[in-house]
Amino acid sequence: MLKEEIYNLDTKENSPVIVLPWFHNCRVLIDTGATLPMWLKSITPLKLKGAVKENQTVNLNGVGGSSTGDLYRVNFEIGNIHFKNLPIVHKEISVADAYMILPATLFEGMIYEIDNVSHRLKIKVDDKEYYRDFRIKDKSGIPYIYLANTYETKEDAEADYKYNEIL
Amino acid sequence: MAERLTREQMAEKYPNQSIGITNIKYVNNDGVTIESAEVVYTPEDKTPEELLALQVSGSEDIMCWYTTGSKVNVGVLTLC
Repeated sequence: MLKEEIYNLDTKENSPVIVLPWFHNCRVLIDTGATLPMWLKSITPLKLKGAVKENQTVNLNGVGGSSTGDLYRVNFEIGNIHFKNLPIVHKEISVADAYMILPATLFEGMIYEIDNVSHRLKIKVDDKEYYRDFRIKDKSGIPYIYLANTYETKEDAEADYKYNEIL
Repeated sequence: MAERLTREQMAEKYPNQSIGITNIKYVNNDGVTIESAEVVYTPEDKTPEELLALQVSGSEDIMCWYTTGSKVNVGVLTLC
C-alpha cells in the first residue's frame, strides 16, 4: 500500500527546501537535477550522526565547473523511510543556506511531488519498501546513487547479507 | 539581550553570514519558512561550524542561519 510523507516547503526560497526535524531542523534542498546526496556544511555535525568516511573521493561536475568531494556513509531517514549507509558526498559551500542536497536519484521507486501551490513536498512509497539500500556508481565520470534493494522491515533488511555489506 | 529581527532584516544586517537564532517564528507555523527570530550569536561571536555544532547538540535550541542563501542556486552550481 502506498503511504505518503508530507513536508512543508520554505515559501521564501526560490528552490524547494524542507526541514528534517529528526536532525535538529536540518535544512535540505531537493535538487531534481542532482544525482548524489551532498552535505554542504562542516562535516562535524554529520559525524555526530554517525557518518563514516570512505577511502574514496568523488568527482563533481556541474555548471559551476568540476571539483571533488569526500565520500561518507550515514544512516539517514525521511519520516518512515530508512536509508542505511546512504552514500553522501561532503563538499563545503559556505554560501549555501541548506545543509544538504537530496537528489532525484534518492527518490527512485517512489512518487515525489513538489507542490508549489500548497508549498508541500509529497513523497509516496510502498510501505513494503520502507527500508532502502542505495549504492553508488560512476558512469562515464558522472557518479550517481541507485536503488539496489528494498525491504519491508528492518529485520527483513538485516537478514539479507547484501544489506549489511558496504560497497 | 537578543534582538528580534525579521528574515529580511537578518539578511540586511548580516549579509552572506551565518548567525545563531532562537525563538523562531514561522510563517503560518509551517515549521520551515522563517518569519522572524531572536539573534543570539553574530558572526563576531561564533563561526558557522560552532553554530552548526550547537544546533546539532540541541543544547541551546539554536539554529545556524545563513542569512542570504536564498539567492544562491546551490544545486546548479554543484551537480547537473
